[in-house]
Amino acid sequence: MRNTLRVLRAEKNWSQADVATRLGVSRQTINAVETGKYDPSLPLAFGMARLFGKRIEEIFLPEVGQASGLSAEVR
Amino acid sequence: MLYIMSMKPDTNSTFSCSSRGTLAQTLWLLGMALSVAAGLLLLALLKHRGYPLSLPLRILAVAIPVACGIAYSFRLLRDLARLDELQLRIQLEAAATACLGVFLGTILYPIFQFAGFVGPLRAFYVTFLLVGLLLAGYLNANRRYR
Repeated sequence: MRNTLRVLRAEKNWSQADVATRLGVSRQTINAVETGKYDPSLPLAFGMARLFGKRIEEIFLPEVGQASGLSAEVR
Repeated sequence: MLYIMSMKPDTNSTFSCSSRGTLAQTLWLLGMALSVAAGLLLLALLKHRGYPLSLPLRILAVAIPVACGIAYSFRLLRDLARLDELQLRIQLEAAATACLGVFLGTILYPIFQFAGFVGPLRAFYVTFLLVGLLLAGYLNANRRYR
């Protein structure tokens, strides 16, 4: 999953440590999310959305070619 | 257990394992190891010199390491519960690596022993294998999410 966390963070002029402190997680977690190595849990994703005043889908985007996560039957 | 001890305190985060927690874990673990060594030494010395090993002394020799071990376990579990989600995932992967390695090792060991490649299995070796795999799993997972 791609995300715009780095851009949003740069707009606010916050460091990874600043975001980590505000969200109550470690800096390593923020770095792993930004680099796409780790997809955050739903509560953390909501926390990020609230912190930046955005909706979750404005921050997290599916990879190119990645479906919405729904199976063909559900879609 | 080792991976928790090896965690660097992150002063920027309110959620990570504190250095005080890490120090407390280390001290309890050290206390357990030292009290086991001291108890064994004392009991062996008394037995060697022919002194009777009284019940209160034997209870004391056992109770101190057990108390330290229980305190260590509580501290470790409490610190685990305070980790953030990525650290929990890292440690889950480390624990899975250790469990899988020990499981395969103990299941496959009899065939190696029967074939004459290795001697009888000692619990001591299993402990080393477990701790080694735990540490390797932690380092590997930590590197991946760095």
